[in-house]
Amino acid sequence: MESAEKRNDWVSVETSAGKSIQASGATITPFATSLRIGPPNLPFGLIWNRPSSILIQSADGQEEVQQVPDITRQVLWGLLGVTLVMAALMWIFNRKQSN
Amino acid sequence: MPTKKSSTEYSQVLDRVQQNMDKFLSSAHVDAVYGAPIAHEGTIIIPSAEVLSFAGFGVGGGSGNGPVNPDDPEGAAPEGEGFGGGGGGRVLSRPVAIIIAAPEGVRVEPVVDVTKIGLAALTAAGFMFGMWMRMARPRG
Repeated sequence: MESAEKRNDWVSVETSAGKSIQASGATITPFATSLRIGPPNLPFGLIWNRPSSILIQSADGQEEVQQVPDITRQVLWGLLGVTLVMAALMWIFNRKQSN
Repeated sequence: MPTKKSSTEYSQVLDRVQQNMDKFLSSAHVDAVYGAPIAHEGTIIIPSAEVLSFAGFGVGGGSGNGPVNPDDPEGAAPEGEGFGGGGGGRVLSRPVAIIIAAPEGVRVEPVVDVTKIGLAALTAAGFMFGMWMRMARPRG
């Protein structure tokens, strides 16, 4: 397993490659990103693992990277953004009307 | 003041806690995210999920030595000991996408959690409606 790591004492972000899988004449290598939060001398820890991308190597030697999209997360962030913008607009509109 | 026995027990408990923490932190691995490939009619399916796990451990201790009366050799021996430890954690998992390797090619199909999005949309709509109603109320 290969990995690229960015680490300090409390927080580390690591991208790891998993075992390659042979499928339909192609080799698929999955990649995952993990965020670790763990104070060095405290018995507490949090790990967030998520899929990031896959590398597809075809039989003729071509390589392609496909991202693994998290649509649910993107929609939830979008909803949060829309809600905040709408709330700000309502506040501004209400303030203008009361003046 | 901790006795020799209690110090040994305490260090054993701490070692156990450290071992559990090391074991827990080693779960940040790519195998936790991608499932085993499933072969189905010439197609290979690889499920992938987001995994969030957290854990915490704690230890407690105590010891005691009562006053020793040198004039009373038959008296009750001083005593008192006690150690305890505990921990807890949780693992949350959510499917993110499915990788499908078919003879036509490899593609990534996202998994959309409609229930979660629906609940979030309802919460957002409720928040905006509440805010609008509050602003529309005439000020006294």
